[in-house]
Amino acid sequence: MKNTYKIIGLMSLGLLMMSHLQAQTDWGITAEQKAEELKIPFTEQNQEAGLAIFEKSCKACHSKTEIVPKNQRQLPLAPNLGCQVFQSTHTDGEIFWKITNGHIASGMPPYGTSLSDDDRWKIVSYLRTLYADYQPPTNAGEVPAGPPAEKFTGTIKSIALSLDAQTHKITAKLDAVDAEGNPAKAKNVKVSIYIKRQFGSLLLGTIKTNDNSVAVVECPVEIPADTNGNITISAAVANSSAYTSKEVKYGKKLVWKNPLDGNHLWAVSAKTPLWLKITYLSVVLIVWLVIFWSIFQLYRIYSLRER
Amino acid sequence: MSDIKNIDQKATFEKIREDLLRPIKTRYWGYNAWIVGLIVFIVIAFWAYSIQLNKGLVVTGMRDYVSWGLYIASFIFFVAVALVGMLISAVVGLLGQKWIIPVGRIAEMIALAFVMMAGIVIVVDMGRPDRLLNVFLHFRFQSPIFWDVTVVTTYVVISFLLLFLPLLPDLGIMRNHLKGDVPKWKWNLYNILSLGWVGTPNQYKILHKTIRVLLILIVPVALSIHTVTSWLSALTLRSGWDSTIFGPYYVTGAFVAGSGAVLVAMYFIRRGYSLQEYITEYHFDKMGKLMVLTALVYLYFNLNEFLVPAFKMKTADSHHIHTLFTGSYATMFWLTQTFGLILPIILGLFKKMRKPFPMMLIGVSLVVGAFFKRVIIVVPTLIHAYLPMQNIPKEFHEYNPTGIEITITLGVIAIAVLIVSILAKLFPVIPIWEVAHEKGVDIEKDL
Repeated sequence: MKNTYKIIGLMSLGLLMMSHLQAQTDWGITAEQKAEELKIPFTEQNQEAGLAIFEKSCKACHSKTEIVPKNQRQLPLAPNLGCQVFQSTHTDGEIFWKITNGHIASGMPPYGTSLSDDDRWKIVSYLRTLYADYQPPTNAGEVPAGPPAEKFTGTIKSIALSLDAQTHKITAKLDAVDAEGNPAKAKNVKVSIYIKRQFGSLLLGTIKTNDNSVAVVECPVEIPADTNGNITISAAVANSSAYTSKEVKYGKKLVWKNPLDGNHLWAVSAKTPLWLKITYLSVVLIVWLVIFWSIFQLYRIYSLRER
Repeated sequence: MSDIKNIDQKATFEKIREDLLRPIKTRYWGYNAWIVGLIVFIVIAFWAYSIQLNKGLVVTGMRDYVSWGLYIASFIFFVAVALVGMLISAVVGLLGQKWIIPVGRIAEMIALAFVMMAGIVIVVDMGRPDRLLNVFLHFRFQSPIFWDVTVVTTYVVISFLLLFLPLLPDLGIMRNHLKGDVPKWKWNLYNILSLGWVGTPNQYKILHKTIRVLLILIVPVALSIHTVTSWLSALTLRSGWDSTIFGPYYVTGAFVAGSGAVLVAMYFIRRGYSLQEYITEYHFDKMGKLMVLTALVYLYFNLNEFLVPAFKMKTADSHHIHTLFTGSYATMFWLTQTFGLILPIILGLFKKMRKPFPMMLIGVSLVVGAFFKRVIIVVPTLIHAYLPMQNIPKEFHEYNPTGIEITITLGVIAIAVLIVSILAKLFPVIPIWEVAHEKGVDIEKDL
């Protein structure tokens, strides 16, 4: 009898687990959807736009994308999408529809309503940059005309940062040398510009330098500054040690009010709230006046003694 | 006024006087043994206290989390019992109840002794009693502890006055009639304390007026002493303490504890001094009814105090309530609620139970229950800290009072009982003049 229960229990447990596994693997993607290919050109522009969306909408769960042969990461539970097994076993359409429909049982929310088709394809195109063997489809729309942007190959020496309080623009000018060590213009170099906040840096943007090696980003007006009215801006160039930070007068000066100023319940005795002091002192005074009056009555009784 | 009536009055008064002064004149072996026993116990407690003073509070069961233990529980207990002076003399007395006359002074003696010990036990709880003066030097108006120091001091003074003032006519009588019957120093004491009382109408007028004013004054003072004591806990966010009804909860609990203490004292004083004629079964009946009334009010507050959080079961509260109802404090909790509240109410409803002996037993049950109820109020809350309790020694998680701590606590209780015992032997426990007045003797004459 006991064994029967055990067997039934184990069987139901097994069934439960199987149904769960089934649910985990079934994303409800049709063969037709699976066969779809990237619907936008596989260009740098789209890849970068995809990265921006990825950082905003996906990174919170999926964390960093690292190119690894096999996903060995325990946490976070959401897989590392740079994993080559994932890349090689998924078609473009499969990735797209997983983003679109999501899978509540395994924790992936659907993005079909919050991100446009174009945005989701941009994410796919970004993810494909992590797969060296990827063959972009040939009929994926028109590639913008003109020659591809030339890449800067020299070395960034330093960055000069400046903030114009009138135009609210932060300008980062790069000082660079080419491969031979001669001064050169650093064009199309990505510069990330930040403002220092309490627990980290706020990225204002990652901008490419123009012909004059200058990257410009807009600085938020009225951004909270420190108690001296200063903010610290910084700039860094990807794949380079160039970094600079600078304190500038800008933003809304922080006015810090010391909670110990004024009369409070939590302050020292000298800073007792007036109502409390008055209440305490008047009650004590009244009660003790009556007590002293009573003691005086004892004296009166004493003075009435027989002499 | 006719002569016969005068003689009659004189005879009545002489009998009352003799009856009530007899305990002061007579030596009782039982009483002496009782005092010696108490003193021996107190000496042992002092020895225990010297160890605590020498080694610090580490000899107690108190640690970082449970930093209030038996001492603070007995502080609340002492304040609670002391409140009975106000209940009997002021609340019931001002309502015009005549039956409290023979009981009133016992209540006042208990009140004075216990409220004094409430102050002492705080010093005992201090690891550095030499820094006691800092409480007064570096006080904060905003601190409930400072308010408590204020009200306890005030209550001591008013309790003393309310014991001393009604004693004046009796002191005059004792000065006039005890010369030669008592040792010289005792008579001198009575002589000085009587403040030259001769019982002129003017003296009586001043006396009545002053007592009346003080009786009115002690009502708010007594209410505030125990309300402020409850605020020491209730003004925090700790579950089990964070309660809006803690003030009345404490006050009503105090009335129950005090009634119990008075019942016990009444019984032993009546037996020991053979005062059956003055403290009659009628008085036990009345006290029993008063006890049931206060206990019913306290039951009502208990219902509120536990049902309301238990219905909602906020996370922290649920830890606390489960500890009390089914956890490590369940036995103590249910025993306390049963013997300190439910049973006394049920038994007190029966006339047969409102006789001296059963009432005394119920009184003991109430007092013991009241003490453990204070432990339950103080300790389980401290065991559940809001801060994570990690990487701390095992004994920090619980509170087990040590032998030294228990000895000191019992010693402080013994001092309170000793003070009551000495007061009850040194002065008439029943006011002679008030009883005489009740029996129709014209006391406003120099007798």
